[in-house]
Amino acid sequence: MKYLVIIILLITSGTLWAQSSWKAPDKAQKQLSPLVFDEDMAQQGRQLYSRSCASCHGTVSKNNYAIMIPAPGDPASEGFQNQTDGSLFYKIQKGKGAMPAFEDVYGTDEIWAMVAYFRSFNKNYEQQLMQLDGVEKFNFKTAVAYDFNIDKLVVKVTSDDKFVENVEVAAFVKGMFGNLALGKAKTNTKGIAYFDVDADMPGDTKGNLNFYVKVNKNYSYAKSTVALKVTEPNIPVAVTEGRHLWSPNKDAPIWLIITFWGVVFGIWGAIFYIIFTLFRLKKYKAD
Amino acid sequence: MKTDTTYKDLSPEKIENDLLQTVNWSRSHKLWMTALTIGLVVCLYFYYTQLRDGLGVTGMNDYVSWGIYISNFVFFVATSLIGMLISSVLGLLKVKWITPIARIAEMIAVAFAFVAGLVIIIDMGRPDRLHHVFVYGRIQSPILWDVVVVTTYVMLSLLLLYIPLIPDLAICAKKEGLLPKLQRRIYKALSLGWANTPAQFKIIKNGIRMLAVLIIPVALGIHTVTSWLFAMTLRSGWDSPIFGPYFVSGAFVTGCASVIILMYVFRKQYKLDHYLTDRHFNLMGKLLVLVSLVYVYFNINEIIVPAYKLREAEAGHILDLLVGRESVMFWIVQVGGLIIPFLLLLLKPMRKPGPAALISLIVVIGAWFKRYLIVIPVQLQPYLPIQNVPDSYSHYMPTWPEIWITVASFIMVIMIITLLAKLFPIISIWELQEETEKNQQS
Ligand code: HEC
Repeated sequence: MKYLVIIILLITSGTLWAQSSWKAPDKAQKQLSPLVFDEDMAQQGRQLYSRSCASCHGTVSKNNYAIMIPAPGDPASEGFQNQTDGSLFYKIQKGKGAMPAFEDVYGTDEIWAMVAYFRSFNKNYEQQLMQLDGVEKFNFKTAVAYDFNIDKLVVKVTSDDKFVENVEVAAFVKGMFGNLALGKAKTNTKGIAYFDVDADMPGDTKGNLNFYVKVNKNYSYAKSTVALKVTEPNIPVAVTEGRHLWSPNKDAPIWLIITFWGVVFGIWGAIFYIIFTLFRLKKYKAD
Repeated sequence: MKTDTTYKDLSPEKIENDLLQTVNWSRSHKLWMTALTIGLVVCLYFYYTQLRDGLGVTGMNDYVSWGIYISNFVFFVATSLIGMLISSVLGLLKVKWITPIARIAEMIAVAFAFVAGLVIIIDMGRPDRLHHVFVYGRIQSPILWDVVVVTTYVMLSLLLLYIPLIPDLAICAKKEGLLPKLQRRIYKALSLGWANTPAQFKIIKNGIRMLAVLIIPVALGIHTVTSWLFAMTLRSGWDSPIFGPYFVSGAFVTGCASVIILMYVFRKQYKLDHYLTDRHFNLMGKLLVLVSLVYVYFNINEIIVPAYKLREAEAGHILDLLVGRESVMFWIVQVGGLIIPFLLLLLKPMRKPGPAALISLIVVIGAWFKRYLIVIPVQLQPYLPIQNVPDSYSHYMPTWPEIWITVASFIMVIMIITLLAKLFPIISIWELQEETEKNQQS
């Protein structure tokens, strides 16, 4: 009991101490995310978080972070949420004591994605956007097609009906559990970026692949999802379909049914035959 | 030159009288059965608590879900296999000396196989759902095969006990005075109009021969399928292709030893020295040495092949047995219950009835614990480590109710054998008479 009290005191004091003593520099605090926090970004942040942070910070909003001094804290807690975006960004980048620095591990977009993930637990949060005066702005539009001659995905990027040259496009194929990256490519002088696609990739029941493309330059941003018929229709076959050892009884393999019942009937047939002969004993009572 | 008289020197009348003396309802027998019944009732009280409170009264848990009930089941099935070896294999090979032993072996087979079936029901948390095995069973599952093959084996063993008994039943039916009238009537009905005619002999001899052939694959099947209950899983330690022959060879060891023990008890109890002679003990002792050697051979294979490689998944289990928490029991069972007994049996004086029976008793006890070692430790070494569970889950200890319920199964076996021995001649009268007649003609 005594120890428990001491540990609790240590943990709480550790938490208090951590919150009061770790401050990002003023300049860092004012930093803003160039990207708008949205569901996609939070989703990306969630994946990174579970890979690199959950071991110490626990499941977000469950307050099950590791027992350490100072305490790592739960990213959904007020301790985190009351800080500015820039402060969180700075702390993840630089680290302190037991909190590792992720500067060299993750790019800035990925760190912002984690901040976006943390913010997705805060209903009252409203993102403070960057002042974009004086920066070239785009009104991106993408057109996506598939070129069967070269087995490539073709993405054309325009802004106000003009090709946009030298802009980075990222393309993915949407899967059941995540997105499969096809890669990143820059648009050429015609505003077109190409991506290799493995034509054997399994599509949906109609043969569609769901492509997902993102365009990003100078804080201007666009994304779109297009289903294109690229592969043969893919009719999924359940592993339970057909006759297998793991099927229900009615779908037992034929060889097993024949062997099993063959043996059972064979042996019980013989047993009944022997019993039957015994009833003939009476007939031979006298020679 | 013979110093001992054996049944071969006796007259058919003497044989008949000697062997019929056991068929009666003596006072001592009634006392013995009463004692057994009281014991059984006491043990069944614990089964009642298990029915009432569920399998929680046993020591089984999430990891060890097969405890001593299942290892006891394996032991019973194993012991019952001896019926096949003696009356069928040796019978078909025309080995003569087994004639007075065959029925004893068959009684063991019937009693153990029958109770083995009950033991499985004891292991069920909801025995009222027994029929689900048949209604929802899948023929892909070795458990269903086991149910079928055990039933078939009980049936075959019963027939193999009954058919050679028919001529003796006719003899018993004629035995006036000692037996109640109703009982003799039943014998008469069961003897199916037996009148010692050559045509009748032909029918039962054909039947016996067919059964003898039929029971070989079924008996191999019953214990191979029992081994498959383990070997068909992916668990390290059970996932072994030699499990079938390993089980079968082990079965003959406990079976031979049980026959020797029962022979000794009958010989002492009913003064059957002329029938179950020193020679029989000598030969059964040699048979026990032979089957033990085969079993030792399989044991070496079963241990040394994984122990040499010590693959990660198997290492835990093998080291548990060799040097870990099960090592004391393991070495006592292997050395004390198998190796020393068979080395001793190599010496002729040790194959005299008394020493042979004592050694056999040790072998049988060792064999029971051997089944424990096969069934339980493996479950404590799953592929996914045991963690974040109550500490009690990481070991297994049978509880008292569990132990008493297991004792009940032994009491039932003894009761069945006692009843059979009191209802029917333990040694086939007509077969001995036939043999002595041939003997005296030549
Ligand atoms: C080895 C354990 C560990 C890992 C892994 C870890 N952290 Fe931390 N984190 C800590 C500790 C301990 C603190 C408290 C440091 C202090 O206050 O001195 C902390 C503090 C923080 C803070 C500041 C909290 C505050 O109250 O000011 C943020 C933000 C943060 N971590 C984010 C992350 C993110 C994002 C990741 C994954 C990329 C991560 N951490 C991985 C241990 C860890």
